[in-house]
Amino acid sequence: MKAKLAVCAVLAVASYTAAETTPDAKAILHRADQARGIGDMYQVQTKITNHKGSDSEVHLFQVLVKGADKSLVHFLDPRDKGRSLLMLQDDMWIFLPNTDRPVRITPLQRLVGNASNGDVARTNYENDYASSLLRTEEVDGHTCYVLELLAVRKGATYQKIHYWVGAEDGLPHKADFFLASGKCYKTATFDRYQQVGGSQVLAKMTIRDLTGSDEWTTMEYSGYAAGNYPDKLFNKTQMGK
Amino acid sequence: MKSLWSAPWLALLLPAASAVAADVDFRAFLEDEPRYSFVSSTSPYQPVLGLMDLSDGSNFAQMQVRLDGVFGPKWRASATGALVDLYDGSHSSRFLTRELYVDCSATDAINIFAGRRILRWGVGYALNPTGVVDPHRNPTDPDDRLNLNIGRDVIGLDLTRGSQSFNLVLSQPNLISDGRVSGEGAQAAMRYSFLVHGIDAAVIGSWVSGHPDRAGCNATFVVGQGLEIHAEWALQWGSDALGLQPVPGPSGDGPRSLFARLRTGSEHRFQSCVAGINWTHSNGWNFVAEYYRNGDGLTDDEWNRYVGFLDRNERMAGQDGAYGPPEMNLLLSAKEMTGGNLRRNYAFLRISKDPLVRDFSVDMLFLGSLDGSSGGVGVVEIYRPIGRFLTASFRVTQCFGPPGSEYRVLPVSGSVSLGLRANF
Repeated sequence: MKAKLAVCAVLAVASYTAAETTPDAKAILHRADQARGIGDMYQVQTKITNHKGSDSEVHLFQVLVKGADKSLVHFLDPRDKGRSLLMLQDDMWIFLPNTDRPVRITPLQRLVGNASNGDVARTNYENDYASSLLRTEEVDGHTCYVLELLAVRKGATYQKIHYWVGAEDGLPHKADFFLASGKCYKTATFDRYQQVGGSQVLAKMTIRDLTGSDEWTTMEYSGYAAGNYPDKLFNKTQMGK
Repeated sequence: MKSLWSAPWLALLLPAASAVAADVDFRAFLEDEPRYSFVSSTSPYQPVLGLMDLSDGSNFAQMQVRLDGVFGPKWRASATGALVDLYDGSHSSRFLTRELYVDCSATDAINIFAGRRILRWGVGYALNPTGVVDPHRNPTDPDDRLNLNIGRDVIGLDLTRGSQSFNLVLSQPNLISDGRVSGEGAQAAMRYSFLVHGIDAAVIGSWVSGHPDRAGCNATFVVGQGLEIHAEWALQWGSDALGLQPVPGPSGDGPRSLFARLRTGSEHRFQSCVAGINWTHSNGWNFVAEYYRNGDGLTDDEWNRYVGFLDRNERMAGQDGAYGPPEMNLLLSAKEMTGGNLRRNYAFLRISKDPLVRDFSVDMLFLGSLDGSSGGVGVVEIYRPIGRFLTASFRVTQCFGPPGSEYRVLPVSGSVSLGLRANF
């Protein structure tokens, strides 16, 4: 009996230790997603700067988020003012003031530069990807868990992501984005965070094109504010109204 | 009523709205587009008798302002007006009220609106049989690049619940895009739209006094990362198609041809449909292709009678010098013939890339009639943003087809234009 108890105790300690040393990938991803927004319903101003050689072009957006699968992006630039992008789960529409109607679009139709629609409209990876822990690695002095994210929904922006999340701070530090062919074609660094309501939230990230061009895109986030938005705001028939 | 819509209300509205609205959003642009048109001396529209005074060179300029005001948690108003000027040897200016409406958000699920408003219910990119409340649109300019579409005078109700919505509008029918009303009476139209398993679908019905009733449905679906598929189908009871009908001449001097409804009686039912795809390649090229079937379009015989009529009669000539060849064709078609497209079968293709090289983007369109004596219109547009406020564009249109085909009978066979727009 004593021997059995001893074996059970050893197994319990072993499993506890294993659980402590092998963190849950989903929990890491969940924590990393917290740093991409400020709760269930909020808005944020997003400034996207496309750099190509010595040239740069700036675009401004207002992003409204409701839950994990509803977002509405308003274009604020003088040239694009009146445009908006609606993302509902896997489905996307763009409203163009010229045509005065929402047009169904596909994930490959890009918003601006290297930023995909999903880069702007969707910041929650937990619902779109299945995660697994690959290894632990140092990035810019941070010990990071390296997660592999595989798309589980057709609306996911990328087929596969390698995601570096700080082991201590729980913040995303780097991401590599892969095509269905397995080729890595974009990489992102999460450069700066800001304090909003006592939490660390993303302030700036940089996306670089790895296909041989000299282009890169910075995305800066400001003006996070909690809101209360009715469902009809996220109905495509109400776009542009 | 007309004087109200024609009034330059913006000068009054801007300070008034700013004073009472909690939040006013302002958008405006200035645009200038010199154009050279290739006038076709062989067109049957051509003014042998001097009715149409087309000039090779013209300049189109406009200033357009849009104001959106929010008045508390429930009320919102929107106004869009344009002052347009066409110079083709002499100036012709007019003020267009594109939209002017009030919207009340009665509850989180109910909106009521009234005024002049642009509504679009079709899902096709260029051609929309279920666009029963849409402005008359030009398939070779589906994005309305000069923003000249005019709304219709409506009272409407929107009910939304999740991704479902029910829309009901009462309106004046068939408002043509230059602001003139072509239809009398009233229209009631409804739409129920829903999203199920990625299929975005709608059922639509329209009842118009003195015109055919119409019911139909449309849907869009996305396959994979780059392919969107869309389709519309509509059934129409009766016909609006006008064509040449032989009638006895006065005093027994033989039959004459007069424009009249070709197919009278509500027992006639016509189907129209569009099926299309929108495909984006991972390198950024975008392709849109559509096939359109208009059951109420003119048959080959009806078309040939019409062209023969044009050859010897100048009555069809219009005065819309502000429009280029495709626009002129389709507007004339809309006004004088069917209220929609002339023939029965059309194909549409758009190839674009944004940007193509550095900041230059390209848009290539083709609209072709697939019926006998077929022809088409090709459009190439290159545009480039300049800084944050300016966009320059260069546009070439060319009509082609055998003599007597839909696009070769136009009085202008092609055009070249250069535009500059400043956004504020």
